[in-house]
Amino acid sequence: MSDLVIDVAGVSKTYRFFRLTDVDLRLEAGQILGFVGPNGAGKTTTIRILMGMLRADRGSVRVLGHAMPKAQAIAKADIGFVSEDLRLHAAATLGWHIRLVAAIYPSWDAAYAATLLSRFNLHPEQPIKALSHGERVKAALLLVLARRPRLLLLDEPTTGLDPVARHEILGELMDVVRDERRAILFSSHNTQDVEQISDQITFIDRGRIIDASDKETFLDRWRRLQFDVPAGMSVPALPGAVSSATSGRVVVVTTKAYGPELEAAVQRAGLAVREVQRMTLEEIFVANVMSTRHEEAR
Amino acid sequence: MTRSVMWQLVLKDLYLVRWMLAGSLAAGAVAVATLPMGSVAAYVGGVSLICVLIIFNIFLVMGSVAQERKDKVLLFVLSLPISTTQYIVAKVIANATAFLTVWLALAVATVVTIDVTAIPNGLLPFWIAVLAYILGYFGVLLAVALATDSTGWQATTITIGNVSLNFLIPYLLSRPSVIAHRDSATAVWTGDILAIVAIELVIGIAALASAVYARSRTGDFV
Amino acid sequence: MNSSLLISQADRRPMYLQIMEQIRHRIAVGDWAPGYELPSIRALAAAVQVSVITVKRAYLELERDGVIVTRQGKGSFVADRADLSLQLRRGELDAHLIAAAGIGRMLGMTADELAARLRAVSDGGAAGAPSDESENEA
Repeated sequence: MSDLVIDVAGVSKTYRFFRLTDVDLRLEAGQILGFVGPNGAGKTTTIRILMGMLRADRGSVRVLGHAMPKAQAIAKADIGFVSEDLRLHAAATLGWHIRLVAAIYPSWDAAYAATLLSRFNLHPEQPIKALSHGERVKAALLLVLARRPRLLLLDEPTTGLDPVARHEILGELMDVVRDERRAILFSSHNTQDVEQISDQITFIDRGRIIDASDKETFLDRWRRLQFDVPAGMSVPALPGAVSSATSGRVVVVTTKAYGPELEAAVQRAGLAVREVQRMTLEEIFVANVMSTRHEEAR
Repeated sequence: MTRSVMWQLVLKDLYLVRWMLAGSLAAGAVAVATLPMGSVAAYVGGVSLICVLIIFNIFLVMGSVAQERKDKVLLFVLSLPISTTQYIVAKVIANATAFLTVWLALAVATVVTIDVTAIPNGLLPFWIAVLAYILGYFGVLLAVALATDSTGWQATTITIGNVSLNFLIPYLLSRPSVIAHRDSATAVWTGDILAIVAIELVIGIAALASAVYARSRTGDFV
Repeated sequence: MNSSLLISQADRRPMYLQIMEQIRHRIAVGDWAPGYELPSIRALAAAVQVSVITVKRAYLELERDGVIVTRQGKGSFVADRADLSLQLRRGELDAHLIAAAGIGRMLGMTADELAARLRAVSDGGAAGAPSDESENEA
């Protein structure tokens, strides 16, 4: 039994124009969880609640076994947090920040920090205000990675970065889970990154969790089926169908329950299958969100 | 670990304002030095001294608290292993240390200058009342900056703080006790001046205490 | 230990299948001999920058196929069978033949026509297939 690094149940928080409702999140040690949602869905709010920067109105939040936000000081000793809107002190240098963080955390690994400095092509004497956006993100990540915290909470860590920088960062993140005691939760709307390195994936939209599963199950169970349907015939309801589109004689059904039961249903209906397409995580995500919103509109 | 983290935060804030601190000390020292050089110089020096202290107050509090919040550096600092209450307390300690360093140095310099030079010591109570006002002003401004994100409230506080001084000074100078002793060589402390000083200090401290208390209760800091 | 497996993002096949194929190929050509210790799941995941769960699945399926053996607490090893390499190469051939048969079916070819075509291609070498004769109606 792995221990739960993040254990969130029934968390709700109400703002004037936005509401986070009944959020459940669970992350085991050794895993990477990709937290995917459109802008304004509630990813940042959720992550800040995990960090104890915000207090939920309802529900329980335990991070590394500590209740948040009450025990946030202890918990944060082993959490690394970077968010896309986080800034370092512009007037100071990267080296100054390194000294500050190293003085605070006994787990600081100076050798690893030096490796990251050269790998990310950063220089300690650079003042923060002279860094580009990508360099600032890498600097913030360096300050967090070199401490080797058990849990990394990353809010859009690769947003706005060029492909090379993204590749470097994904590499460092994967290195983190070589240690099965450590874990990462990162939010992104870059579904490609999420699809590549996540073990677990959670979708959030408009303040609600709309789907959560492991990556392989998502990719296995979502399919687009194309049928050749002669005029006058219609496609019956198929298991797990979330949407269907018709173009002439071709009907495309998107389903989230691909498997033997679906195949049997297709055979029973006597439908001619033209093609069965796998879906990328991005396509799955969009289909999921659109169908959920459609359901709620009804 | 948290005690040492707070200490690191105080040190970091002091480090970030080191030039502002040194500059204010230097400018204030010059202002104090010109006080005994004749009535025009005294006027200019006096006004400059008050300005240095107020400007330092504003830049210090705005730069350290409000700007950190606006620039989202707050997120970095809050990601460190401290609670939001500890963050606020560390901020108060850092800002108070920085401001008091300059204020005390210049207040002592003023008192000593008045004492050893030809400036009548009878003016000391007036000066102490003005300096104490600025200290109270600092407390209130820091409290407002900690309590609210709104630049509107911060600007309002600054406006009221500055304009009130324009009324406080003539009021003090019109006090019978000040008028009676303004040319005397000894300082005379009357009840009304002491009361004013006490009120100024209490307002500053009370404002700070309520801001720290209020902020530590809400639980939402970003 | 050089585990530079190549995972292509442009390849629409699932990542775990790509990993399995790469590992099978290593074994087939003899890079990884029987008894060779595979990189740990986490080490391979980090090296290839792919989720641990995907590598885990690949290893599980390979074990199910008898290509590798996992010993609890020790790690995963290439199955100790002398004919494994040969069997895997045959497997690669079969995969191509199955794909060819699928296309042949779509073209409406019989098994004999398909075999004849294969012979012609095989004899003709790089010169290319004989030109199309009559179109068979689907």
